[in-house]
Amino acid sequence: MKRVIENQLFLWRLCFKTAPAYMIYFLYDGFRYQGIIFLEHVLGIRYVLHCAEYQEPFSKALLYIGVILIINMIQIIPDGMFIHGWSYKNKPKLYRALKEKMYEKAAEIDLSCYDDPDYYNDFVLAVAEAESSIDRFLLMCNHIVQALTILFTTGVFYLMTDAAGVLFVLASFILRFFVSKVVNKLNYAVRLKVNPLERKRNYVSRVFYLNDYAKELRLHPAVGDQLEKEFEEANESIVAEQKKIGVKRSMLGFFKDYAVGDFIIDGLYITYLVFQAAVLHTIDYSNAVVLFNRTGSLRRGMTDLADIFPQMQENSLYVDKIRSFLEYDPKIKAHEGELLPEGNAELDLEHLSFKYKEDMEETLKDISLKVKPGEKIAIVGYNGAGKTTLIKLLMRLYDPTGGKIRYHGKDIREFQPYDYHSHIGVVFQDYQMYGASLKENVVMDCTDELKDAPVTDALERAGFKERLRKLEKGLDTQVTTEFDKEGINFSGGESQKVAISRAFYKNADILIMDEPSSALDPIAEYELNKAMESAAKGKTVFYISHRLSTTRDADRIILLENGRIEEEGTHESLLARNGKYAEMWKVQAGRYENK
Amino acid sequence: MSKKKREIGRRRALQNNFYACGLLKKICPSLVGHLAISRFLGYFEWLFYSAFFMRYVINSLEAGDSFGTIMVFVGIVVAVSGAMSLYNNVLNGHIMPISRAIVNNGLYKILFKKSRNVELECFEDSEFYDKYTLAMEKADERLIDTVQAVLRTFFGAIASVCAFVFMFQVDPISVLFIIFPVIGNFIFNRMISHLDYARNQDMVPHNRRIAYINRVMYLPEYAKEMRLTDVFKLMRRQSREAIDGLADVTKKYTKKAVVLHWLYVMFTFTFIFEGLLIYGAYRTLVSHSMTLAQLAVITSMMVSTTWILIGFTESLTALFKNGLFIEYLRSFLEYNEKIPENSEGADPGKRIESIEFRNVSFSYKDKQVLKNLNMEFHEGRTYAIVGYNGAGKTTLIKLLLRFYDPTEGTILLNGRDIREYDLKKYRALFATAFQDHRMFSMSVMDNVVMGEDIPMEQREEKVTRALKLSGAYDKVMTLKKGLDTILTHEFDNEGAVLSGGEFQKIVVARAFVKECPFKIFDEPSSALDPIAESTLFDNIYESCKDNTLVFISHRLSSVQNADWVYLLADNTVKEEGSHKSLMEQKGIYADMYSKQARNYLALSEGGEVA
Repeated sequence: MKRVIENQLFLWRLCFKTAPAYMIYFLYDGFRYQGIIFLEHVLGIRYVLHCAEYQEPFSKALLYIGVILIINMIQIIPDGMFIHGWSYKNKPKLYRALKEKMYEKAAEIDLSCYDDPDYYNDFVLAVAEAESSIDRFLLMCNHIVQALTILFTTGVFYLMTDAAGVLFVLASFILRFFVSKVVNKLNYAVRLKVNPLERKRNYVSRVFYLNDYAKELRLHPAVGDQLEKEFEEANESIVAEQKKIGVKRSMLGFFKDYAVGDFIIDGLYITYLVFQAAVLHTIDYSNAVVLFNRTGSLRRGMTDLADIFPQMQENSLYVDKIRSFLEYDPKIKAHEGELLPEGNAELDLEHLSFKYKEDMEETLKDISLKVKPGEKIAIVGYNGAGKTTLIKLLMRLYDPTGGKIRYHGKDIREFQPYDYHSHIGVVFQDYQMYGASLKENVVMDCTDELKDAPVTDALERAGFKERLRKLEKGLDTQVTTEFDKEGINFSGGESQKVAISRAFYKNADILIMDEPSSALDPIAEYELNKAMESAAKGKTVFYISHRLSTTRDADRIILLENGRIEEEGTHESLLARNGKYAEMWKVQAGRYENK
Repeated sequence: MSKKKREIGRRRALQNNFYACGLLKKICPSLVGHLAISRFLGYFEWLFYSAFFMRYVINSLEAGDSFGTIMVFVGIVVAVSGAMSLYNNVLNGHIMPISRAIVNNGLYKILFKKSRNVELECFEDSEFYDKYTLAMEKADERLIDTVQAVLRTFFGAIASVCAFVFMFQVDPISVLFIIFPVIGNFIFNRMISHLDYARNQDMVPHNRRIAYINRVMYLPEYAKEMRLTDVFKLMRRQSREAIDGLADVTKKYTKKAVVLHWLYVMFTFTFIFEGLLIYGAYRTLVSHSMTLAQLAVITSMMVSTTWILIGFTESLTALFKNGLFIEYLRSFLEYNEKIPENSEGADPGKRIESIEFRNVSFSYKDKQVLKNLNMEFHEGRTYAIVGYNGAGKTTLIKLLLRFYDPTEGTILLNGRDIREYDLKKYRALFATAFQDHRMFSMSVMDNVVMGEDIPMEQREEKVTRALKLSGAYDKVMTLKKGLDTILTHEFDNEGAVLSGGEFQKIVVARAFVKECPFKIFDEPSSALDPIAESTLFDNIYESCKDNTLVFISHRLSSVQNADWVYLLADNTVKEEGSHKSLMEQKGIYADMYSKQARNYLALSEGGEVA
């Protein structure tokens, strides 16, 4: 309860701080809307009817309605500004205020958060729901103001004209409220049963309509038949579930709409009004008409107010996710710590071990390694031996669970991660292209004041020279067709070269390459390796590859197996040792020997 | 206001609405009837209460009728409305939920059938695909909505006419006031919606950018780079620019919109309400030609008439909007397949003696992918296809499987054009492992079998064998339920998600398990370590001894053992022959091979590979 209110206040503060004037008008708008309706449909109509009933002079009615007309003409001017101007301008600002906070956090939370599916699902939900939670909040504010306005205007009118009328409306409202609870519970129970069935149904339609599966379905038509059968079964089960409760739900609905709704208002209340007017003569006709006509609106005001808290609770669930995401305190803080000394230095891995989760086996076990500045290290091993994990620790995307990494003689945890990262150039297997200019895609930052030459140079060294020359707009070419139809989607090989040029551009002391050539044809792979050789002069290099031909010239080769360094040495010494590496080498190289 | 371009004409949009009604009637006829009845009752109730009920009661009161007489009337009304309410609740609580499931089932089965039957190219043509996804998304709900809008328009029109007639009966002149909301709705509201449309169009690029950045910020594949580089700043700046862009767009339209909004509200609500109130007051007070009951009716009729008119215009707008959606649905369902998946023809038999590509060319969207290709594949032999990235290797396989038909030339199976065969039976002759691995949310076993006709008692044995050959068996056995483990999280939270390499091996196992004469492997080893790769190739050669075998690979060492190698370059077969003869040719293949082999064989730069 407390948290629910707090969450609404959190959103209110955020919105109010971002656009105070807009928010005030926003509240006023709910009041304005119901106020005008009251003025026109309660006071105005009643006054005219009253004048007619008691034969008041026409001028009085004219004046009264004239005033309402003028008020109407004036109040609608800012309303137009609000709907067609202020809202379009301010709503994105409100979204931005919340989303920028979340973006900053998203760029800051520990990478390990992405490995935890529960955390990650919450995170995605929080980002996805950011806009709608603001929308829901605004709508709720509007409902509160509208409901309060109705209660204060129409409610007071009832109390002053004929207080008993409120009792009818109130009785109907309260009874409906309880019936609604039963109905909601019933609907919720059905939802729980139907949801997984609908999930299945949606999955099947996705398989049929996404292009991802189109090929498989054509190669294996029998799978399609099986899925169609499952789809039909899901729908049959849904029908069965709905049938089970159909009658009960219909009767409850009838009870809610009619027995405690229309029957009380259209039946009992009208009887009461007619009785008062015809028999007791305690109410005049004009009031009776207005009272009867406004029952619906009064009841709606009450219902809206009663719905506010459930709405708050629902929205609060999402805001909770957003807030707990924003409140997360990352273990690796990008901007804390000391700056790195100039120049390259020795990297020292001391008894490094790591596991992704408490209850999981260690991915890396007691890794010790001293790397001299400028040394070329190749890391080889089976799939799943821990190669990429080791790289992630070196990059300080994760902190080791045991042991430490020293650079310049200090534990890298003492350095500012942001500065540390800027000293390392890295090419991952799963690099991404961004919807921005080619130049920005190399620099990976805003480039307004940067010269072209170093960027061109980096691209050329990565083997992109020919392609760059063919680009009409050169470095200003838009990459991806995300939001520029003229944009260019580079092929796998070309993208890889752009990704590699990023590492070259950085002019870092340490270069890390994680299988950069896996998708390339032999010629492209060859060219890449040549480029690497020249670009890596004087830098410390870590190179992961399954292609042992590309790693043989390394100063040292590390063979990882099950998270341990199993073998270590130069190509020749490892061959002489005749162990795992030698086996791998023979298997791969042997295939090239003439038979 | 400039005329906006419409994707389809008004006439076609209207026709589409009728098409939708026909479609729904075919799938669930009773639903259309129920929707019509409930719409009719809704308008009837509305008009009855605002036009008759109050008028009758007040008339009776003024005429001095007894309380009892009035109560008889009220009692009948309450009983009738009770019956109507009962019907509505049975409809909403019982009939609708069931009908919705029936419509979902019926409509999607039609859509599935079609989407399984159109050629693969449709999925790769973004223009077709975009429209097609729009048609598929919530098609069932939108079909019902469309029919509802048609009914709303139809009964709304009748109700509007009735409202005019009732007001005319009460007071002929009062009908004239309806001209205000008519102008408001049909002129000003339309102008506003044109303006909204234009503004939305202007906002599209900015909103797309915002959505893109949102995606980049939460998808895990971007997370590493977000931390290692300053690309976050780039994204933030783009997002700010987009939001400023939205504000600029808004500014352009605000002034005009405010004027139109003022006119709209004044004409639709204020002028008719205030006008009628003054007019009514004049008639009752000055000319004394209207009774209190009539005045009361006019005050409630003016409100309901206005809203009936608004509802009518809205449903009219919806009609045209839905027309476009139905257009997508309709053009998809009426699309003429180029290669219907169910195309019938000659039975190709169970053997492949030869396959021949004769002068085959293929263009995709005016871009030549393959040119003048001549190739032959003979029974029981092994073929390797190599070449640069993007040389058209995978396209070749797709042509062979008849996912596409050649733009020129023919492909012959046992001497006969493959287009003459029954497509399903033809395709059953091949087992293919593509690079892009897609897992279905089914058990590992089912993901390997993929619906092939394998007797139940042999399944486990055969699947185990295939998984062992592809190298995935040990990993699968570490999963809790072994072969019965469900893959992916789609609707089993306990489902297993394996690494890309493991998924690749399962796809390869599919090709092992299928019994057919011709097997194709497209880069089966790109993500595997040297030992796994070597074992896999040995297994492919060994277990496909009796099959015709084709594989694509960048690992030229694995190509050596093939009987015949095709090298693709410049969109065609540039070199072909055995490994040995190609090496002797000293062409592209020899260059590729030696570049790859050089480091393994410890040769110096420029050295030759024998």
